[in-house]
Amino acid sequence: MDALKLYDEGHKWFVFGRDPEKPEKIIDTNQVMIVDGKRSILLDPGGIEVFSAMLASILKYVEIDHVTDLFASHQDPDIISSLGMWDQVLPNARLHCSWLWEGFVRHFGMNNIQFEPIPDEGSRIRLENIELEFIPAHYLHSSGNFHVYDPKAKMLFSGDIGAALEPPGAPMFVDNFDAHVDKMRYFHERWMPSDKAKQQWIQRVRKLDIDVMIPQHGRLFKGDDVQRFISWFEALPVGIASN
Amino acid sequence: MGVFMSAAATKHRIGGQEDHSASSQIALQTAAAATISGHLFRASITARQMALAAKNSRAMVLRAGSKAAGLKVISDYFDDLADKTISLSSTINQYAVAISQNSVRQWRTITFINRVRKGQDYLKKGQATEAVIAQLDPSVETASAHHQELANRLDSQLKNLKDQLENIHHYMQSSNVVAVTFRLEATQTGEFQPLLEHMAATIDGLTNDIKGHINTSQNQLNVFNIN
Repeated sequence: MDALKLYDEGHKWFVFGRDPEKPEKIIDTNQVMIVDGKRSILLDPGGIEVFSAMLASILKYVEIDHVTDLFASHQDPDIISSLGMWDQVLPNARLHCSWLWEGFVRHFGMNNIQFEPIPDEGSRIRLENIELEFIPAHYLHSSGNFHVYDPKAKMLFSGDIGAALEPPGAPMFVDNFDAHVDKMRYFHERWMPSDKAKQQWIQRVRKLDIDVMIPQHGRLFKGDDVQRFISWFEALPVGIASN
Repeated sequence: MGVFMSAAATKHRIGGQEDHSASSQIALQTAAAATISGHLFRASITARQMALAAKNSRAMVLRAGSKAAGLKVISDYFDDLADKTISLSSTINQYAVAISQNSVRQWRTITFINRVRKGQDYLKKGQATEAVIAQLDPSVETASAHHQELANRLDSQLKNLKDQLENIHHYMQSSNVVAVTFRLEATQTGEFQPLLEHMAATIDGLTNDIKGHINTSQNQLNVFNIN
């Protein structure tokens, strides 16, 4: 599994993905790790099929005892079906997820990890030195859904927003936004159900200073492409299956 | 086909090339326990029908009066047997459900061990240091110990299940014998004979149904290779 260090100034951001041994028919995913001293958090740690590769990848950069927190943007299996495995290898960790999904994600197995429910309005957590914000993104697409913003690194982990379905071996960053649009269009039109929810999210994230936006699938957005994406998404009709 | 994951076997079966077969065996185990549970459920429904038939035969025996004096004890016996069968079926079903749940926990534990070991293989290929790889050993050891505990628990659950299935099988064999006696006694009841013989045949038929479910359940236990 490829790992890319996105940020390294005191604390670090890593993104993991493009697992060459991933079974062919499962969707490719990006997993993120933020390392802050002796505390680290995994954002959307991934499905059970990528657990082994993800476990090996993170241990190149941290000790297992320093992985203290997990975050699940929502309840989908590509995000958190590995929970039963992490539960056994990180028995003292905490899982941050929308309060809505506690009873559901427990189906993946959670006897040791402590569930930390995120209220609908969002919240903040402190790792060792830095603070992270859980930004509401409800109904985009899940009804209990959060993104993670790091004001110091100016990074936004945006879950399914910004996702694109790409073939294996695609580059990590968007390098031609106009060409990238076609890879995102259907995903956003079909998966995102609510224009009202979309506009609320846009209002919220336009107030944030974002250098890099990391979706859970497909390429990352940096610099001007972040605002290009937001404007593109603002104008996109969504919820097409209900028409 | 299928090998019982006994406590002793478990220690040698986790790891290396046997991991995949261990998962398959546990899947068979789970399926067998669920099959037993299904059959015991149907056995308990049949036992309820037997209880009803026994009550009907008791009513008929009362109507037959002194001609059927010898049958009263037998019809009481059937009624009592049906109640015991219903109760025992429920108990056995709980064992089968517990075995099935135990199997799922075993599967999760083995899956965890396999996937962590795979992670360690990736680290070795990536030339990680021994210290990095060894960080994962404590959780594998904990999981292995838990797996052993589950296997020990399975031993005990299977023994209970086997014993109770044998109990219920004995009840049914007794029921067959008593049904024969019922038929013989019925020949002394004059005009009530055809009805009472029919009832005896009904109870015998229901007994054989239950025996069929118990036999199938006992055969499922053979998949586990219990001694």
